Amino acid sequence: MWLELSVTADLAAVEALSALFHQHGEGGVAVDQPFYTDPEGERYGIDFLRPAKVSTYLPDTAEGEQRRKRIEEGLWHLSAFNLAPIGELQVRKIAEDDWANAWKEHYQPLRIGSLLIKPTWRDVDVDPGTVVVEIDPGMAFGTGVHQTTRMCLAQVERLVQPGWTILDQGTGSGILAVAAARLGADLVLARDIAEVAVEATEENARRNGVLDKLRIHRIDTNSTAIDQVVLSPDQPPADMIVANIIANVLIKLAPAFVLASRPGALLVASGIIRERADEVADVLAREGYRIEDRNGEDERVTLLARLATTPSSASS
Amino acid sequence: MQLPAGKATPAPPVGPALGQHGVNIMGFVKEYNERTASKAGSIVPVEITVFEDRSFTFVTKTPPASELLKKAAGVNSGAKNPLKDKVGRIDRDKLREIAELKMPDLNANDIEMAMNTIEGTARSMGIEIVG
Repeated sequence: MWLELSVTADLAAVEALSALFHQHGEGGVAVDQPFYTDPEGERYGIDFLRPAKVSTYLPDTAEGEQRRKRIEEGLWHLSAFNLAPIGELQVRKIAEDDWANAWKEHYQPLRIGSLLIKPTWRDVDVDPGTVVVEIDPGMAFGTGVHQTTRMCLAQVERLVQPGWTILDQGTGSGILAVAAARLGADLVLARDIAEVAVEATEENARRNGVLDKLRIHRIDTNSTAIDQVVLSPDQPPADMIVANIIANVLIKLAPAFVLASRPGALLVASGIIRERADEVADVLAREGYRIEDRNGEDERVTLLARLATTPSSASS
Repeated sequence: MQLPAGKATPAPPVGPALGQHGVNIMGFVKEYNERTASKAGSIVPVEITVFEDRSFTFVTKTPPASELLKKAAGVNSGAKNPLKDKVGRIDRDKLREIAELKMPDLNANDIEMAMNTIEGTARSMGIEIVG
């Protein structure tokens, strides 16, 4: 067993509390700080105005009890300095766990049509015809847990045809790109702004045996929309674009999506907060897309759009 | 979190603090140790952001104020009873230097406010500010 010792305090006292906890605690200190975020999750940061929770851990032994007393004494001294409001010491027992593996319980296999998304450590009975995609959750977005990822996976599973070229803009872990390749796409152009995403996508593509079908590139957010979407003049036109990003980026990239697509190509635009879904749909319509489907009204919306088959039908 | 550079493990505090959020513990530990290996022997705070789908990112931060203060005062640890005992001292120029380094991580509007916070931490450790 372990003892978890925690105190809630204003930021001005966090450094001093951390020093005390570090001196007597085991292994280090955890500080849980409230965050602020805008509705789209695009901008976020620490909310310095709300108190933070500072925690450390001790073995539940006689020696641990001695160290706990020293922390209590230290807190008493700290309170005498009036650094900032400091709450009461909270102590709770937590069971010894296989910390390296316990977090894995959060991940269950996910079935979407013929697709089965599963972490590598889960053994699952697979029916004939099932397309298995193995993804281990890590630092890049796209663990299969989020609603937007699931909605995109559903569209990819339903629509991708053998031989297609897919463009996955904002690939994250590469989950959608790998799924598209496993479902029969010939070529998947996977892009992201983060190096960690590029590395994760490469690893996941290799793990699923589709690395030869993917072209993975890191893109620069400071470059123009066209330079982020059309990386070379001879880039094969996409039969389908999947973009699980946010409204602002979708709006910026929409004209470039048209240039990167063949006539009649599909666009799965996701990650859009409900309040901005109409705005994104209007922009896509102006670029020549027809909205064919709209999912996920609760929180985030996924739009399925089809590009006009000829330039003239775009304006009709 | 404040962890020993290059030596983080899945044991507390990492395991229970991150495990409850479904974060890939081994993935974090490996990355943190790789990024901080060159600073072995010191404490390197890390700010971890966990996203809705439990993917995460992290950035390492400036050293804890307590570590900077101990080093500046040439002491190994703070006082057991800082109200009564003083273990060391630093001058105001050094205090300002530490406050400037820590400014990005403090909710301080100006350097004077940051210095006040660092001074409070120093006093709570039994380190006097002189000059």
